[in-house]
Amino acid sequence: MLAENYVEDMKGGRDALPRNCESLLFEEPWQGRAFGMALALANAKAYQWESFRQSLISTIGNWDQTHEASDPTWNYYEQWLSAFEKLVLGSGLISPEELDRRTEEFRTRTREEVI
Amino acid sequence: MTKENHGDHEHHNHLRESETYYAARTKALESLFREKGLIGIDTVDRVIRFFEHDMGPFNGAKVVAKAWSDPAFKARLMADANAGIAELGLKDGIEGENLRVVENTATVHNVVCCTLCSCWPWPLLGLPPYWFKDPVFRARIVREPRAVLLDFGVTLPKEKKIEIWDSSAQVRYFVIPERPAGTENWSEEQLAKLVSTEAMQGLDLVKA
Repeated sequence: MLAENYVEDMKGGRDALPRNCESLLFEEPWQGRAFGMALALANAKAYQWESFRQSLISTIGNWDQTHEASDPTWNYYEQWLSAFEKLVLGSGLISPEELDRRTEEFRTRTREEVI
Repeated sequence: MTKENHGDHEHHNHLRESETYYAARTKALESLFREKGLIGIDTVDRVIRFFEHDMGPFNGAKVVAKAWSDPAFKARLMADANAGIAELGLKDGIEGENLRVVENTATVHNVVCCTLCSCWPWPLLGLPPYWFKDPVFRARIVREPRAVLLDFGVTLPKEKKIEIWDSSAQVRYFVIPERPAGTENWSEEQLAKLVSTEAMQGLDLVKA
């Protein structure tokens, strides 16, 4: 696979590349939880890993189509979480209502559960 | 109290706000999946620990050092990367199923990217560094690899050919960098210490 084959599909600005090459695990704890959950549920055979991957590819694809490549609001784990939500809601593992209700409970701290 | 201007403060509040939402959202998801018995209390912790401690660039560096030191191993690795890493006791679990090894030589320099999302040989390199997931990087590496390499501090001779390998679900690429001169009598342990994550994706050269 050579570069030329992909050039036509490419877009985005000429902004400088981030120079810090240190690998970064998670900027915030929730990112680690979202990461771990997507893998844990695949291990538990709740879905095929490939289904998650496809959900991630299409989620990132949507972002790429609606944003400039240099858009500073890009956040990989927001894409990851969104892809994960789409998959688990779409496959009926949980319902949007129960997810929203529980999110609100954690947000307003009316739920006592240590995660 | 430290001095803080108003702009910073607002930015901070905004970050905290979104952080709270995402934190609540992931907690809600994890709580529901525990309740449904799909994951245990410490399942997510164990997954994270595995990726932080058992998988990582040290695995890839070990493979490179072995390949440099043992030509027969290198030949087997190039022919079947999964079988090759298994010889070193490395696992090829999720996201490491179809590895392929490409070798940098005096005439060819290989660079790996993933223009679709962020396919990455996790068992060998651990979690991907943030630049690999950056859309600007993904776009630029294909269009102007020499300029991107320069940003990473890598200057290649004009006559050296650059090959870009696009990782996908089917194949994840892994680069064996050129062995630095003057390391002929080095042990595999010494050699492994020289190899960076970037070098194993073609974005760094190994120096002794």
